[in-house]
Amino acid sequence: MLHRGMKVKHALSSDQLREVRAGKKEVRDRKGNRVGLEGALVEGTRLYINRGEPDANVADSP
Amino acid sequence: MRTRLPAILLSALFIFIALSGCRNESTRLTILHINDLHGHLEPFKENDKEGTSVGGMARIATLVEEVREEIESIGGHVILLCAGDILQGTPMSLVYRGEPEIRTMNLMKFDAMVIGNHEFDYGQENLRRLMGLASFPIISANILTTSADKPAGADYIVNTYGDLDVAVFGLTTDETPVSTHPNNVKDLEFLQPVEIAEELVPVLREKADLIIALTHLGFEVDERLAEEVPGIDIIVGGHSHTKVDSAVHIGETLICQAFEYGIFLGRVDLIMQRGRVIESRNMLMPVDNTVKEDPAISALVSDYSTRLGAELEKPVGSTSVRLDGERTSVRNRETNLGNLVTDAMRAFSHADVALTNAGSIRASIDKGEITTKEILTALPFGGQLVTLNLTGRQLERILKRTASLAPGSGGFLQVSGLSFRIEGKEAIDVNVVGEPLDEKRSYSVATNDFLAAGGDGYNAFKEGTEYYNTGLKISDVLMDYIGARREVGGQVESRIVKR
Repeated sequence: MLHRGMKVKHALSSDQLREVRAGKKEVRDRKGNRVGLEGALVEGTRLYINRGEPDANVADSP
Repeated sequence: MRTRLPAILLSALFIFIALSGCRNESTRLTILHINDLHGHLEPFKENDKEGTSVGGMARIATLVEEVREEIESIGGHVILLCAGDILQGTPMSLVYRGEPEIRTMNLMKFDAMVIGNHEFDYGQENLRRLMGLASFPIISANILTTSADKPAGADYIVNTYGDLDVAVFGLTTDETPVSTHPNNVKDLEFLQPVEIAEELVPVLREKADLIIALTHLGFEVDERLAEEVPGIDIIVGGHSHTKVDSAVHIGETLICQAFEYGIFLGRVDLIMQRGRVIESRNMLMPVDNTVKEDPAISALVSDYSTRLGAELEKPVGSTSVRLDGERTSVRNRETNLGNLVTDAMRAFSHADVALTNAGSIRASIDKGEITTKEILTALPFGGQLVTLNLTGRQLERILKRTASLAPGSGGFLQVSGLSFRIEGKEAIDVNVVGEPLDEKRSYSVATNDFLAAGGDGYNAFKEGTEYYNTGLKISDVLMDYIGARREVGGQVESRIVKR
């Protein structure tokens, strides 16, 4: 469950956050656009963590 | 005797006249844009990559001037826009509260900026100050004010470029009230942005050939805006920190966004004819160490950076005792620094209870003067102060988790407003605000955004209600707390007793 006003980083696990901060992985939206960790989440946002092609669903915002 | 021109020459003449007319009606317009700068005026390393620095306002200024020269030399026009959130993110932003951002943007001749949610983080008076300092309009069409002295940017601007009238209107996320302290948005109402656009766009269609929505809504809301409000030519967005490599077309609307922190300068090239876009293309121009720095902007930023160094060394107060933030202490037991930090959180938010994880505290503060630099070293992660309501039962689960953690865990909590004992791996004798914990009662809790999102395995936080993010870092709050008191003295008060 994510609250209104939360950001992309809040949707990730600690391990995922560490990998993204280290530049090993990137967070992308459903259109494949890269998004920053401080990006705002809005209702219905779906995020993916990958290095290229979308692979795993990370989180749905409320 | 009259001579008739051969038909072929007549045809050529007509074609020439027609083409000349078309070329004269074409207007070349380029939109340059940034968003979510968050105080990143200086180049910085992304992901600690060696030798690579990105961003920097001086580099952006160089790129802007190069594009201006390129486009204006062929009779075109350039519009420079900012899609909000210039504040909050660096020590420079913390100390100078947007002044260097606005001054650099003035020098670069920005055409407009939309108000972002973080523009409210240092209060409405600060935003009003910045709006007075700016030589460009800071706009938003969906913020309603009920008082004459509240900041209220214009809804839109209309400028003429050659024979082209261009309207730019602003939209601010209506989530702003849940992403900043309530005091920061007092007497302000944030109207639903798509509804406002539905009313405004037909009006702007009468005034302008090209309509640009300069938004701080997030990419997905920009998509909804394009779907539901016909007539917008370009949406230049921010808030979601989205890197839109190829602008998205929805109907006749083009949506773009340039990621974050000035790492890219967005560019949209348009060819307009008879008031309509006949050709468009976009790109993100990398801002990196291959770009030279504009000397004037570089000098301005350097000046602030030098002054910042001195500011960070200035004392904000003093402590009569050493404030213990040592890893082995703060991750295993109550410390006076943990108490000071959580007291500051509770005082600012007026919450019943404040909780923070030991992992967010990374250094001690020695007895004597306390500088900004020492506070930022002790709390380096930029965790933001959030508040939410939790039931007594949820609080119990949180304290049980802290009691059950292995020694030395960064998840160990420092607390204010409550006390408890750890026996074995259980938390017992919990008192909140001087009374035994009531499982069914709702308590207001101040914490950091990491814990509130379930960090360190504290899932109970995610069940909280009435969540809002003050927009302030806990280091900011601690600085204000110490500054207001001038001298603090910390001691261990048996808030957490271990057997």
